[in-house]
Amino acid sequence: MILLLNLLMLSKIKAIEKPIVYIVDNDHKLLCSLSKKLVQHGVIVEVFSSAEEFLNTKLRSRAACLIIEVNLPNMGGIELLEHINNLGVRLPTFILSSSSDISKAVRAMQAEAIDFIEKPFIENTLIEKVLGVIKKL
Amino acid sequence: MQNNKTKHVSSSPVVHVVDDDEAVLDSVGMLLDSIGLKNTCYKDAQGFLDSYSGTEFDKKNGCILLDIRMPFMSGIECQYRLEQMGCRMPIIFVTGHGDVPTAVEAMKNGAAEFIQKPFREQLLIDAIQKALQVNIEDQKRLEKINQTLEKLASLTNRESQILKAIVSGKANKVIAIELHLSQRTIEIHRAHVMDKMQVKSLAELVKVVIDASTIH
Repeated sequence: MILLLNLLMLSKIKAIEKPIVYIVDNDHKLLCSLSKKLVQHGVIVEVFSSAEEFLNTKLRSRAACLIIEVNLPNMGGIELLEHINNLGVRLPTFILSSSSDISKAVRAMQAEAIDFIEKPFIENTLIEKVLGVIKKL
Repeated sequence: MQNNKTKHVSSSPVVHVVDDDEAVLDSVGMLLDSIGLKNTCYKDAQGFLDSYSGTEFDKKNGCILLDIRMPFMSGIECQYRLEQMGCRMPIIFVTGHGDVPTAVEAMKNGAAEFIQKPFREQLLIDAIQKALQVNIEDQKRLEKINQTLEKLASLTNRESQILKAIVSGKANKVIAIELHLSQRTIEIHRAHVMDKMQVKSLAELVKVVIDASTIH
């Protein structure tokens, strides 16, 4: 009985410790494939199709990482990152971009993004980078 | 505006311009002269590094404009070498051949800005002013940290042991038990620590110690 309880507690703790990756992108195909692969690596994935949707969500307080697309409807990806920074929240963030725009890359890096990745990219490379960041949290 | 200018002259930061294109050196030099900023031009990265390692070179006050694509040594390589040499001056990249991966790499390595040629003059001036401001703040911060480190060095072994315990949030009573001393002794040591660190409150003490441990 006690053993069972212990096991239960352990699994609960494990569930709490599972890191989260938030992805904000309006490309559903990418959201699907990326989150499928990330889930296989034992992380929880939450997806959002716009900056507003992300901002309206209560973030869970645990190890987390953020992936944002630059070109979002309404509020852009970099504005979102800058907004989050202004709120005093520090999330390690990867920026994805479907257009190769140097000034946007520079702005993203000035907003302390970890990396700025041009689409199309190799998914496994991104996933490795994300896992690397999560491990360090 | 006048006031601003005199401030610049008194601390006299220097903008170092490194570009293999002499036309660019000329025009940027003239632009900087026109707003009263001291500047020196270098035709290649090695030349700049050589004079940087010279003794009379002011290694602190100023910023660096770097071209990316140059013969012999690239701007990125030069940035790396400067970092190895402990250079803390902000670097602004100015390039006609930029691509996203290069820009991202340069920014990851701590560049302040990455500007594409051709650029608007005002854009460059704004970037330089901002970099110089950052540089001044960085110097102030560094100076403060050095002062704190000096003060920390002036503590006796026992005092720094107690400082560590205080900063990690332990109460006098707990420290006394751990170090097999009386609470009164800890109180005296603690007062000495506060004196030597020139702080008035525990919060202030914790802040200066944390600030000093985050040299970036």
